[in-house]
Amino acid sequence: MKSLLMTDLLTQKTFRAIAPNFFIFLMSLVPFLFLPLTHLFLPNLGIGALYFWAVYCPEKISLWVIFGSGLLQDGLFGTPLGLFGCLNLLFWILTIAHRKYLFKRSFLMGWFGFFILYSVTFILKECVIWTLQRPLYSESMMLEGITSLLSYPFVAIVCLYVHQKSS
Amino acid sequence: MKPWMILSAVKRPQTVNYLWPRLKMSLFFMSAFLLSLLTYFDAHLQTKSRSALLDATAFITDLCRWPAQTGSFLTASLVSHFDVYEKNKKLRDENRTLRAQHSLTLALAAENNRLRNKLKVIKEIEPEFSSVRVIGAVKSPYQHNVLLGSGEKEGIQVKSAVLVDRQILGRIIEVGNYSCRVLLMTDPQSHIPIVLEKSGVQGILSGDNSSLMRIRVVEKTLISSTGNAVHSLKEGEQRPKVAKGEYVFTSGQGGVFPTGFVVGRVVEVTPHEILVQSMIDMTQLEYVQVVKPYEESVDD
Repeated sequence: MKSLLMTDLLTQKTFRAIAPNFFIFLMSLVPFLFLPLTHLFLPNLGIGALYFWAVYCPEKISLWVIFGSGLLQDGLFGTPLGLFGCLNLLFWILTIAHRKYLFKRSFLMGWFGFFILYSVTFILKECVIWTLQRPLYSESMMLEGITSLLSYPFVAIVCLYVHQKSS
Repeated sequence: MKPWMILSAVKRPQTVNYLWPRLKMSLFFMSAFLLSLLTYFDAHLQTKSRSALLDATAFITDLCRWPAQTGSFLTASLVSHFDVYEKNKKLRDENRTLRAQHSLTLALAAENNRLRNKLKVIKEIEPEFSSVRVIGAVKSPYQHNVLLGSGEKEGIQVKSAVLVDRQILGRIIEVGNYSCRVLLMTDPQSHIPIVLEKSGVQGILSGDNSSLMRIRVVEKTLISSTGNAVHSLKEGEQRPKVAKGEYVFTSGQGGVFPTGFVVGRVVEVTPHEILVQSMIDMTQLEYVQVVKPYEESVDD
């Protein structure tokens, strides 16, 4: 009886530790599935999940996960390896640094904070990619930025659900 | 109470370690930066490491693809039930047209064979294909590519052409052990030697990260990226006329793409370029055909 209880507690503890990290990987992978309209653009859902955990629960996320999700995005997007890892880590650092202005604020303020921080990272990413690969301007570049910003409320709702289940 | 007991009773203030988290963050950042520099300057390492990463994620991508594709299929089936009558009528008309064209195609093929035999034209080797399942599609501003669920273990090689229903989709640029990446025609790095159906104009078809492709290099007239002609036509030569709706085929030059496969149709003709659109429905990609490499036979 005691051993069953211990096993159950261990499983719950493992789930609480793994769930937020696994969710970030899943959000990075979702845009590459055959979902409606993803043949037109690819929103960066992983960055929304990173922002949520950075503001509300940064201790649950491992740096390996941030780096690994960046590597996954590099492998799938076709960008130089390490690029998205750098950008995700930079985004994480920026969000942690400004966490005191975002924590315990209204949802709209949080969304505005995501807009500011994501815009900085997005512009930096496009500058680096333009320098390295020189892509031609396309509507999908702006669509990616806009849809990533607009998708934050949906990502936040799912992250909140995972957060409640894992705490 | 003795003095040393008072001292031992005082709790030491907890020292908060700020150094280690910052050091860890810096180490990760530097590692990511060095990795990106290393893979950028060493193309071979970049290809190998990306192929290995692709193999590692192919299983997860394939696993996650199934529910998403099933959901898309069910949604499309449900939506299509509302316009069954219109679709049925459209399909009957198409069927009638295709039957008429089929008998004409048979007659043309027979005449083509007779003329080839008379001229003693050397028969071209028909390419062989292997069907491969699509496990992911990436249409980002950085690259347009499709991920396939077969790799080197199944005989897939780099630079092999990829087709969908005898229409060109792209070519393979990266191969792992169990997966590979296809560069689509719409990617700016894609350049396909083509020939136009009626006018016979030869050129190079390039993608520009949009849904259309452009023919910039036309036989006898080189069009630069700014739209100006670099080499003008000779005296008395007329610019070849290209019509809208004209089919674009592969010319076979370069040896990567087999000859005579449809690439797309001309949708717009401007003085500086010709815009071509592919007829492949990217939302319905499930299986593609990869051209097998030719095995050269050596005469003893």
